[in-house]
Amino acid sequence: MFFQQLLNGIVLGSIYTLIALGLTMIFGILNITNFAHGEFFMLGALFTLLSSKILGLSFFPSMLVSMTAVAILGVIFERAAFRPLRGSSPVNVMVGSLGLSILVQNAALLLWGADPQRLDTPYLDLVITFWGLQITAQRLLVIVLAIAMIIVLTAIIKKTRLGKAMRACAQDIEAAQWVGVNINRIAMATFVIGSALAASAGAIVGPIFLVYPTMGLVPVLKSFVVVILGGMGNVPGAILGGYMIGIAENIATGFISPAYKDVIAFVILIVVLIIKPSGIFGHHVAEKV
Amino acid sequence: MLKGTKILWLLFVIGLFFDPYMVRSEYHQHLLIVSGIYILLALGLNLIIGYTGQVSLGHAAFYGLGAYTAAILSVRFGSPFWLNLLAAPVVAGIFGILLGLPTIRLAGHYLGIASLTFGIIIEQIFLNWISLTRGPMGITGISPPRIPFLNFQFTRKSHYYYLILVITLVVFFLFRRLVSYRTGRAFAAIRENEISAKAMGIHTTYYKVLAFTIAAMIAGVAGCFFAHYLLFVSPDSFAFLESINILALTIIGGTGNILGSLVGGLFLTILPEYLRALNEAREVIYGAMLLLIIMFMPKGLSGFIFGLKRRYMSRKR
Repeated sequence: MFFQQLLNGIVLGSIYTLIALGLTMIFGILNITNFAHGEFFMLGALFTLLSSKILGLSFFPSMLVSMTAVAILGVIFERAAFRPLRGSSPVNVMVGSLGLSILVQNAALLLWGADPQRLDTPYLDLVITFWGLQITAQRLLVIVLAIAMIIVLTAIIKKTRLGKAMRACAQDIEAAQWVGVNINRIAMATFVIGSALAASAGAIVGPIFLVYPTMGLVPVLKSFVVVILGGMGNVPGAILGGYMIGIAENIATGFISPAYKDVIAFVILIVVLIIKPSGIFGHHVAEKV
Repeated sequence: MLKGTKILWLLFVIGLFFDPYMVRSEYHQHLLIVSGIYILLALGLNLIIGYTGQVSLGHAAFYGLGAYTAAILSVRFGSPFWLNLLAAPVVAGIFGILLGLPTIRLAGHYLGIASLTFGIIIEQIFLNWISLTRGPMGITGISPPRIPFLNFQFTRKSHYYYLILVITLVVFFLFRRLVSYRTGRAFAAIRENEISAKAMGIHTTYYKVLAFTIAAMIAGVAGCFFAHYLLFVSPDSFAFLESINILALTIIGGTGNILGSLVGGLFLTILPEYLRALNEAREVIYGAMLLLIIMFMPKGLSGFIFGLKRRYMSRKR
């Protein structure tokens, strides 16, 4: 029972991690609180559904199509909304992203309706049993995808020139500009990666839950918690935080009461912030005078 | 010039008092009453964001605490509106201190998300502490306000209109007193640069917690009025999206001045009503407008108005 809950927690944690990774990058590199991030998640699921229905593709190709489409949208959002807002106060950017979120969510509602839709995959009914634990293939895929994405992302950040430039921007965006980093390209790349990650999360959980325009709200709120928990802009922190919240939620649901399931994440955050105000892995930066 | 502005304000307030005589529409009055509630809420958040330079994404929690305090007192103990009007801000204010305290250590995005978290926890308490709040069913049977001795009961929309008008005017007056003098300068010093404020001997912790507490108390007043106006409270009215809505109207109105809260409260209450004609496209347009206003009027509507005024004045000279 405990290990089953643990396994379910890892599945949930993988989802939070996938969303939080993009969110923490956008946070850390561009200093944007992106409330529209849940919409990337939702569109990821919706586009997967559409491309499997309209183009008749099987699950993985439609997921790729969807990730590409959402990444393109991410670039458009960055160009049209976040770039003009660069340099304005963080609260303004927050409200701007909120406007964008309302816009996209309701456009999806208008175009595809509010009814939850089913996204079918062959992996949904395939139950795998091992060591007395049960998991559907689809849920196992969530874990595999998250691990794969973490490896790919870490490789990009650690090994490539782009990753180096991103790290430079996260440290000090002005200094990065002085040494010749093109901020606009970094912003674009950050949004491509962030939105594609969120879209992959949406696509992979689409079959487990249902697909509807407001499906992004709760996961993205939890992911905000994950980002702050791990330390803003900190990739390992987001991974640890994601799994921590996912596991804690499932264990609390299983052993305490499902009523307060949605509170656990937030209570953990408050406790952590009281003990360590900059998050688990965040290091306190002395304020410049 | 200052005189001209003062006369305009005075005329505006007098105009407000005659409004129910000029427009005899209950719907119109209802909109103004709701605007009044939002003006109060925006004013509180404005104190946190615009005057003190902090963030709160959980303002609906204080609003809800005020409303639930009033509702529970009224239904359980038959306590009258006027007493609740004192009790609600006290309860909300205590929670304001609770949220204000972490701000000693948190700043920026961390504070934003922490306050968001606070809002969600309060909302979940409303939903799940069923023995006290009746959970998602909400609380009904709240008694409407009445004036003792005169035996006057608030029943019509116009009664409530005058009530919220007077409450708002009193809050505006006290708010102006607060921000125009010593305390207001301390807030501004913290907003501009917390470290130099500290260096100048301002007790930044005290003033930051004070800003949160006063904002919470104003929201508590708004909540109390809300409970006694609708005579029904449920967790839906104080959900996360409501906090976000209050944030939007505070920022859209413009922060750091009183006019901003007034314009924001009126504009974002009335605008969606006019957009209603567009049916399903309404929310899409609403979102687009939020984005466009933020992009083209970064100081909000009031900042835009001040800009126009400045341009006009300089041309005249």
